[in-house]
Amino acid sequence: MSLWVDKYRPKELDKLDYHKEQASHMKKLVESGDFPHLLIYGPSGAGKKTRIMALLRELYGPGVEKLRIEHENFVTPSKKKLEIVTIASNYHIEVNPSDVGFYDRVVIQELIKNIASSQQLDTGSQREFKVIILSEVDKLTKDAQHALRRTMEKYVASCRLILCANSSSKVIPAIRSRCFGIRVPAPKVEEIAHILQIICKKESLSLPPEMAQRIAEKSGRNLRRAILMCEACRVQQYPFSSQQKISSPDWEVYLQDTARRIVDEQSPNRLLEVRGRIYELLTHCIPPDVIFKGLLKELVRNCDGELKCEITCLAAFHEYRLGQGSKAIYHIEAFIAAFMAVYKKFLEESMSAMF
Amino acid sequence: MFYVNLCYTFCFFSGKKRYKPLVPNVAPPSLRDPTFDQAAHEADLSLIERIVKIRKKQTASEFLEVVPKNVNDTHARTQDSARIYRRLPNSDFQAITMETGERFYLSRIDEDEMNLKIASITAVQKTVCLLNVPYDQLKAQAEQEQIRQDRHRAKQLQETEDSGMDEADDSKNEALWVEKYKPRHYLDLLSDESTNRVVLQWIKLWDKVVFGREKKVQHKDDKKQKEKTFSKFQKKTGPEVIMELDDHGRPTQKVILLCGPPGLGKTTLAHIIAHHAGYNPVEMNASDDRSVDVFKKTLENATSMKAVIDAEKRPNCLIIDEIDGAPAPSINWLVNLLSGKSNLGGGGKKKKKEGITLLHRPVICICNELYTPALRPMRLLALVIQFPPTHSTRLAQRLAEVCRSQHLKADLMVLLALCEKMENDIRGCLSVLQFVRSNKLRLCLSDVDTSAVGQKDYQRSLFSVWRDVFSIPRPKKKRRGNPHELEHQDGVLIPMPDLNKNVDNFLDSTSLSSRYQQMLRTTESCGEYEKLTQGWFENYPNIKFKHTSLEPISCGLEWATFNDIVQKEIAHSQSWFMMAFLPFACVMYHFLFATHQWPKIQYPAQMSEMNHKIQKAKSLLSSMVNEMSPITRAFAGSLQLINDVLPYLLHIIQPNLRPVNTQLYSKQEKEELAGLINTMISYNLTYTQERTLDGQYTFSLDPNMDEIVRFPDMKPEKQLTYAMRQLVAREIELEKVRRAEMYFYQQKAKESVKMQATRNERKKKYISDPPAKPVPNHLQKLHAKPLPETAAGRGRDAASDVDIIQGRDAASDVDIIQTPKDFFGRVVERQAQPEVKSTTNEIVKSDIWFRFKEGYSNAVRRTIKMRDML
Repeated sequence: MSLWVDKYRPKELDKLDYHKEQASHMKKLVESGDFPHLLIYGPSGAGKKTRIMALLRELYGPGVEKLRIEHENFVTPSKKKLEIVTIASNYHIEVNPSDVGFYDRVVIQELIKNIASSQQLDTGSQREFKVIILSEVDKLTKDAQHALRRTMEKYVASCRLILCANSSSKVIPAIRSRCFGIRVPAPKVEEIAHILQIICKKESLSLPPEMAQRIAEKSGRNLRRAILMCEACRVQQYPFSSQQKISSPDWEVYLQDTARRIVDEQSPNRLLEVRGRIYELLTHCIPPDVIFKGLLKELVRNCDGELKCEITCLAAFHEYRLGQGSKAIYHIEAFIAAFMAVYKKFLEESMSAMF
Repeated sequence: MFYVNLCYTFCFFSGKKRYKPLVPNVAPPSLRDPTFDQAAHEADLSLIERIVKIRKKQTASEFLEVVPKNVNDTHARTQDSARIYRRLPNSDFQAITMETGERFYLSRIDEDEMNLKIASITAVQKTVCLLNVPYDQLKAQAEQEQIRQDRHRAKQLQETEDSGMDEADDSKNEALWVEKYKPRHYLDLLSDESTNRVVLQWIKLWDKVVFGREKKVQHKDDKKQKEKTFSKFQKKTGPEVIMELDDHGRPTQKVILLCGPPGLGKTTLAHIIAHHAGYNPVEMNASDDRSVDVFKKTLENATSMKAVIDAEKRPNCLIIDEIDGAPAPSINWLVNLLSGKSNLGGGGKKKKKEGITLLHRPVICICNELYTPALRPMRLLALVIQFPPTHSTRLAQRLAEVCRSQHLKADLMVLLALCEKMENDIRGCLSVLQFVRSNKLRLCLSDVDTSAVGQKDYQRSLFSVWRDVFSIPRPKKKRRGNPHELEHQDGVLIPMPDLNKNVDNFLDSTSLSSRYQQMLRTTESCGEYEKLTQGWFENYPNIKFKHTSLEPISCGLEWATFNDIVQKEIAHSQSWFMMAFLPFACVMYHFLFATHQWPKIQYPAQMSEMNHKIQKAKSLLSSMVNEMSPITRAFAGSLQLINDVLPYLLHIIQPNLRPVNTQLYSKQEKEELAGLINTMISYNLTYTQERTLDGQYTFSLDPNMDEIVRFPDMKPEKQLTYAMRQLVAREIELEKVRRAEMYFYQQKAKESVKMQATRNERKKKYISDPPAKPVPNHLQKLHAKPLPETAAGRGRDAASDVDIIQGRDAASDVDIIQTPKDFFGRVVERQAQPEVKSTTNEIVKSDIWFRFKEGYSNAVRRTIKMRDML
């Protein structure tokens, strides 16, 4: 537990470093000892999980931090045996149904229902409900989400669900309406810088404020990444110098490079080359939607206002279709080709306008 | 005299009788053919009746003459009866006396006169039958009429080609032309000459085993020269027969596999070659049962027959036709026979003849689809020969010969067109010809163009569909037969019903609509849409583009994504009706990407390769995640790990540490190392030693996250040195052991605490001394020393003294650190202390006990914990 990220993670609602008002709301929420189903959403690295755990601790005491790993087995209707790993304490259980991909509906139907429908034994000393944390709800298939609807209502007496998602847009409205939504926005750059300073102080290191600012900016308001960056910098070089190079993850650099190549040249050959790079990214387990986002970010940088709009529209269109389809490479390449076509046309037009 | 007269009358009557049945007999000339249909028969009958009528009319005058004759005749008869007289007649007579005594006189006729009369009667008889016309004549006439009519009808048929309801009589009984005009000799073969040669060459290689003939020594340079000349003139890069024989004298390729589309003459070739090389071909095809047992039996019967080869008895050559339809176990068995067994029998050269299971007869396999999964093992072993299409000119020539012998008029050009349409399918061509011949005597271009025959519905292979996708069909040369002929026929011709409704396909194959139709049909006939799209996807960047705009690519990719979405939906909701939407993507690819160039198609392997890699990376990741500590895991899902944590983690776990002994580290360095170890353990990382290919040892991360995090053309990060890695790996091991031990003792302590708690409970009952408040167990132990207990103990100290010490000795051997207890769970130390203090103070104080055992070593035994050593 000695990554700073883990080491300095606040464990109680009171000790959170930002969104303090929200933290106090949450505290009030559970003060009565009960709370509705929650849907906690926000960008990656904003502190959703941290808040969930802090909330549970508020509810059950430090016992929730004694975690154990359990392997649950179940059989799909097609007689396929599946195993899913859950992380549980005595009071709650955390599942990521999207681990089993296509069969997530079965997880919801079997596992969650089982847990939810069994009553707590000793209600005197415990709360009368258990908590189920479902992570990556936005990755659930529609079927699974529909399966979840009824479960949420039916077993409300014996369990509470905390859904955790990056974006609420991929959660069906039926579920959204059954949950109390809490949005955890990404921390501000200053907040990140401040937190970095606090951590360095605890580690008895001196972090130059410019450095903290740079890291915070580079992290893209992702606190997890900021802290990791800071630690990586510390390993790389200490004492810090404010000009120190802050490394980005390899995949991000690679992706940016790919985007640059797309902008450089628009031809079938280049498309083929880019395809190789996309394949490379995919085989490194980078999710396709992240690739989309990364590409778009870089591509848009080279475009005019109107074109920006068009490109973003294209990306959104293809990313949506990606969700419907299954072969990511087609969709990504379709987007790249569409971009190339549009961009090339744009270049040609502007060239002819010049002469 | 009288009897002659009687005889005459009798003759007359009997003659009449004989001719009576002649009337119905007039009709039958047409009845020769039993299958003659009723309508025609009736027509004939009516015709003949008409003929008879006409004839009657014609001979009416004659008849009139005859009638009085007849009258005369009857009159003569009465006269005859009057020739018996009671009185003496005038002329010569013969007297007859009846038994009643009456006497009659018969007039006598002169013999010459009688003869004359008989002659005249027979003459009358010939002409004066019921029909008036002699039957022979009538029959001949009817036949003539029949022929005339047939000819007329044939003419009619030729003019108005009907859909073939009427049949010509001759072709009915005939054998199929395919059978009739089958090549009988090697030289008759129509298939590609080089292919024939390769097969023959191969089968000749068996001569040594089968016939015991030494192969003719073939000079290598001679052969090479031959090859050279070959390669100069024809660029056939077909498979070459490996000329070497294995140690059993058999060719190295035990089996030959002929493959190609139907109707190229593969089976014929196999039969003829086998025959040519002196074998007796034994065929086995899909119509036979091909379960393993039957297969085995047939094969053994055919190949291992060891009959003495004499002039009549030819050795067998097994021809397995349509092997692609055989069940996989049978094929596997055959393959085993071909490969495995031959390796087993590696004895002396003579021995192989005795081996029953050893294959020493040639086996020829024939298939249509080479890439059937069941054939995979066989492909590796066999000499695979892809059958090239027959040359259409050769085929057309042969067809012309056939036509000539069948009196079917056909232009060579028309035949060529036919060949082209049938895709050089010999069987198909002959069948069409025979069909046409059954209707008329002339084959013209319009027949070929309009007929629906020849469009085979066999499954297209993936490659051929891809090729079609990427290439624009060449315009077919417009063939015009005799324009006059066409013009002449246009009015009368009723085209055959075209089942496929794309006649224009063959009239103009380059028009967009026909290309569309063609492409759609092709795609549908293949059916593997997913693979088709994949193949397109991986091959399109390699084709030459006419123009540089990227819109077509973009559009094509959009179709690919569409297909992907539809396919997922189909798989998900099992709504197969949506399959109907899939082939259109291929049509679009065709229109967007087709060129006139010959496309070089590669099998799409990238996608599956990528999937494989992704699976590998995922399992790597999960192997890491599975062992991570729960608390770390709760906060880092695999997604976060990939995106944020891992790239930095790999930096973080490579701090600058001096590669010296850990004992020499400063406090800060030690902390840093401890931190590193801690991190690595909580993320389930360690270093393991590996041997690289060039024999060097390296320590690499395990699980090797580098594979996931690092990208190929990124500059490599600085890595820890070998020594450092080794050090870290060792530390991690130690730390793990330490933790395990700690955990172990924690568990043990818990247990002992529990046990003690229960014992205390029990003791409480004994003593009936209720401790008022619940005190934690470990505190309880300190208090458990009531005075009366010791007083009671004093009473029996003399006895217990020795016991205790001995007990302690024994206990100390096992475990010194554990708090020693006596039988009741009381802490012994407390009890013993006052006593021991008085006697052996030094020993008790010390942690280490010495005990001398005679005959044994004087080693010090002591239980040590891991933590003390690490």
